[in-house]
Amino acid sequence: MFYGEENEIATKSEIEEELANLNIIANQNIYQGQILEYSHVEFVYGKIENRSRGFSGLSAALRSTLGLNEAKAMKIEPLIGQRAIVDIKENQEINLTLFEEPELQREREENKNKIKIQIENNLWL
Amino acid sequence: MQNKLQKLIEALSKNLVEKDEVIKLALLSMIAKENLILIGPPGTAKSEISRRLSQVIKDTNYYEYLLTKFTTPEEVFGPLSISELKKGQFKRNTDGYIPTSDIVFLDEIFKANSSILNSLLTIINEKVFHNGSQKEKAPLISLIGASNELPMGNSELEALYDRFLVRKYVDYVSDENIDALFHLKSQIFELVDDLKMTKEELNTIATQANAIEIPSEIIEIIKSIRLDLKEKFKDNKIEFLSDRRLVRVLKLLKISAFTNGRNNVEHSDLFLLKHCLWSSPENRDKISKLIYKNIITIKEI
Repeated sequence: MFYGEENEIATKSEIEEELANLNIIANQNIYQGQILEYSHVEFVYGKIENRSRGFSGLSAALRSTLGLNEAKAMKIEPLIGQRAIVDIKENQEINLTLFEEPELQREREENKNKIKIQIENNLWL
Repeated sequence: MQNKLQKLIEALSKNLVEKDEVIKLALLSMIAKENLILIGPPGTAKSEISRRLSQVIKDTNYYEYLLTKFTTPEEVFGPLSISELKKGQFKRNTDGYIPTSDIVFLDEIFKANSSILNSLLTIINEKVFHNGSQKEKAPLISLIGASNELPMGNSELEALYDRFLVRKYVDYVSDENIDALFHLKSQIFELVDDLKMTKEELNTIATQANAIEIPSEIIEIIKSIRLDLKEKFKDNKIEFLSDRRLVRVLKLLKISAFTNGRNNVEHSDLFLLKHCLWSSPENRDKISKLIYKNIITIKEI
């Protein structure tokens, strides 16, 4: 599920190499300023794989590697197929960056357009 | 059928401003024989919408009443029959009251007191009215309720609220469209016969819609929405999708598909869920977003 072996924490250069082929779609600070009980971790890199638990991959990574409370971490909800990087800095600020392969992004756009047409033709909408 | 429904929606929306969506929902609810609650401040055309809808189905009885906490059962279920009472029978004359009406509009519905609630719930749930010792069939097709507040924390009223599958917040006309109100012509609404539907048509729609397919992709999305709701509101007992509600939601989606001339439910129908899955108005937007997210997360159409 995660970069390399499960729950393995990727290095910055490994992630940067992968990022060259991905589109950044969101970069959001999700938690800041509160003292958390975990040690400093530089990066966690995960792919969201389960739709019914949209962010379970990421959530699991945070929980297992950091012992971080899920509710505190999940201020934004990645979509299935997206990749996420969690960067936790020494000052305990967490940055979540979401990525998407161009192909997946295209597919999602196409689907959105199809739904848009469906909506235009739906009598009740 | 689509053409006729389109014209019907246009006719019902005539001379109303920013009420297209609520008209569509109200009509769909009625065709699906479901109940609709309109929530919003006074003076937002809730009664007018209801009166217009009451003209859609031919040969129906319409009943409307403004409830207060002092409203008695006699006022809404009919007075006691003196002649029956003389014979030692407890019976109401129900003609012209809720037990004999097809379309019912109750304003300030959550002001209903316990003496009204029990009989009302029986009519809604079982389509039956207990008139003394007699069990009479109630023809109710759709109950439209209106209120400017919701019954949070009162279990009896919450049970009534749960019976309204479709929930719509009706607000004042926005500043952008306020000019349109100045140009409205006051006239009594009358629906032309050609656009009216019959009870038989409604029954045919219900039967044929029952055969509509729900593709596995759509089922997965609904399951996913249900799970997300459960997870997001795990500490909130108000927001949950009961099995009964889920079954009725599926029926509504099938009616939507059928009346759109399709053989299966599609993604666009799922947008109707935003009017069915919330209980507390403050969660309306959150639940809408949750639904949208699940619909657009799909991999294939």
